[in-house]
Amino acid sequence: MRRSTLTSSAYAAVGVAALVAIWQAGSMLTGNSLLLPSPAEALKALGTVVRTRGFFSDLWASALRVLKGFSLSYALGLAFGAASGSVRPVRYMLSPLFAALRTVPFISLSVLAIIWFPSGTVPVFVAFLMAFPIVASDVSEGMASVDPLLVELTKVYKVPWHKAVTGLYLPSLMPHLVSAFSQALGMSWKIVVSAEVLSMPSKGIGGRMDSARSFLETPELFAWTLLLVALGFTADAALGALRARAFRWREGRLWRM
Amino acid sequence: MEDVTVRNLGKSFDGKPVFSNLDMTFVNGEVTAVLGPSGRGKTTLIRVLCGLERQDVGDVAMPEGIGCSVVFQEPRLLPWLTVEGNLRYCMDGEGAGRALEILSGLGLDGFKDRYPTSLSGGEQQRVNLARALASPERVLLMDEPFNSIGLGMKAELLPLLRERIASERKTVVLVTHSPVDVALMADRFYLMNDDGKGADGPFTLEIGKAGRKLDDDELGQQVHKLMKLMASLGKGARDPDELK
Amino acid sequence: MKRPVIAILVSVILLSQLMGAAGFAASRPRIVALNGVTGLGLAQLFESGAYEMEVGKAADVAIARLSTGAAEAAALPVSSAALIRNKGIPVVLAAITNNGSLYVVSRSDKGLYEQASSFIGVPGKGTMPDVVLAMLLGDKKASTEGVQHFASPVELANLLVAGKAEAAILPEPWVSQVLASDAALRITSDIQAEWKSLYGFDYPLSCVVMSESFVKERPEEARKMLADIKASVAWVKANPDKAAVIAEKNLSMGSAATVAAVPRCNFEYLDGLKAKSAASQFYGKVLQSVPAMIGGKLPDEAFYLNF
Repeated sequence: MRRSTLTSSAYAAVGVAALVAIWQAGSMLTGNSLLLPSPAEALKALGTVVRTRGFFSDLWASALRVLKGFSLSYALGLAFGAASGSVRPVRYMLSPLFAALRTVPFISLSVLAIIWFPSGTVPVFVAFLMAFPIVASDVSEGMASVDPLLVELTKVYKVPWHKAVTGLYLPSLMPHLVSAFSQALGMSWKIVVSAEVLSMPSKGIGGRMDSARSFLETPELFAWTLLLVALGFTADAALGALRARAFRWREGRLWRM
Repeated sequence: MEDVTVRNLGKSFDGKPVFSNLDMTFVNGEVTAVLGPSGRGKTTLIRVLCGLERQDVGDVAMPEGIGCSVVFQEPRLLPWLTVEGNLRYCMDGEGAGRALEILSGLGLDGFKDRYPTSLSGGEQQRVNLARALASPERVLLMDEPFNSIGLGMKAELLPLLRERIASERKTVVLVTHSPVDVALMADRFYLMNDDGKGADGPFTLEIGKAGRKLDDDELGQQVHKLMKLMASLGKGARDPDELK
Repeated sequence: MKRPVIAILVSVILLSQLMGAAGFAASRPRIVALNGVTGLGLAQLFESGAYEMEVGKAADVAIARLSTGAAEAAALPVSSAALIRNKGIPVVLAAITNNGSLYVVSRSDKGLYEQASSFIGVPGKGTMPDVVLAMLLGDKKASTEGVQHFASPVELANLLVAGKAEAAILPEPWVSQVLASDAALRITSDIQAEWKSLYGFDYPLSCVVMSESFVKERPEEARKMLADIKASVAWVKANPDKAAVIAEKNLSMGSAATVAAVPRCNFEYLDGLKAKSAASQFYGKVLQSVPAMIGGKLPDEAFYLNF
């Protein structure tokens, strides 16, 4: 088991190195740091960015919006998804809503949100609306994958609903919950930053990226992008660790038969 | 407690009848087997009895306020819980304790922290059995519960089970296609028709009720008698004396 | 026998004329113009057929075209011109087309500095309204509490009319547009007057930049372009209603608003040394208060075109 995790990190490292090499080659070919700064330039800009006054308050402002939007979308997505997955009429009623929210383009939501909400709330609202249908659909489909034999078992043994939720439904839904979590979180970051560029609240990563764009500071733009990518990687890693813990019981299967 | 009875019971799926015209009495405190060929009918009967399906025709008379516990054909264990966890899921602490005790009686002592995926099919089924047996419900329904248990193990296990059930005086409905199960477990039995239309019986086997520990010869004799009976009623079993 | 020969000769002549014309059309100089007053000065060029015009919503388009060589010239705000030069894109300042046309439109009757401390919407970051307001507030050491940035003038104008924003600093023609949409809105500050009282000169707003390669390799066409621009600016000033029609067709500007806006646009064509003097004076002031907005330094000498 340990051996395979070592090699997988090694492969990942090779993948990253290849990406950086391609980037470096690209920047040397273009020769114009306005269009494509080199990895070194971007890292240098990142160093400057991190040390500017107000960096943490911008980071925190965006992170807080992500937290709010994501939690709202996850909580409501879980509730609506569970309802939709277990009660057929509810599923039929909600599926057009989910489909509509999934297809409405980001720009329509943002433009409306800017009219309705103060600039700091716009990103939260848009992130919530875009991540919610993903979570809800995921959970709803997950409900369908709960082993019906075990559902019958629960019914026959008259297991009380709270025990059924913690004993049967949540563990069954685990893979879906984890996948929905990582998708919704990733989406929330992307959407919050993009919405910030449009609604321009006074503090936030989107605003800083927009300034970098307006003042043609492409290295700074890349620096912020690298920061967001790094945040994404950390979240993925944390999630991976959680997932490994949650699925410990599967290990038995590995050495049986 | 009164007997559990079914009168003129019938059920179809998609217009195709699974069984019909079933009149059976499951005597209080006894093990009644329903013997028939493999097919959906017998499982459906169990499902109707415990309320997972509704019959199309006929009545099920269950004594007031009495519930059923079920031994399903498959072990139906929650894979992410240990054996003990599984038992606690279906019952309270007391029931779980009883079930563990039954389990060690079935040869599975010290298994409470094992996960289902690390158990063999037969071991899992024994957990399934212990779980149902430990339930406080007065009626026990068993749906072909010994399919994954080999003949040798059956000869050892089933008498133990019979003892345990007898001591609790549960009303047991055992549905099976194996004459060996009937010989080892049942006080009386019905023979379902191959097409599901009705059943013959009740019949009893002429062996004592106590113990039911049969040696190989006795078991062989009982199965032989059963098969002759089935053949005589045209129940799809060949007369064993004609098999050479 | 003679007729076919004549026919062939005529065809060849005609064909070469056509090809000549096509060849000429294929290398029409390409100009990117921004929406609004920045592009309005070039109205005549849209109809002349001698130029391939492209309209952009924000400076990004112009910057992209100029940096990849996909356009020869662009009509830009004066601040953007210096910024892109300082970032290494080889353009020169060819002409100034109009001076300041910024006004504060508000529902209340607060003065500029009072408004800036309670609520004032600014269309875009690093744009002329942003730069100019930042300078005025900075040099007067006034509060910037109420300064809120919005993505674009269109958006800000909508919010202003919808009542979601109390006041905004806007360029023409959006000033005229919002005034026409809501009687409760009024011009409460003339930014040009404020600027003049603080700094003593008129600041330029819009200009035209040309790529260095265009000026060097096709100087005759560059000169002609300048002459056409000069004529266009004068024409727009004198014929607001006709200019408005072109503006509506190409620059997403409502014609009624444009007609009302032209007098407030302060159209004035400057080139050569006069343009250099006006622009560098402006850049000098910017450098003192908000240097980042023009890229942190004064543009070099070669930035100023002088034929």
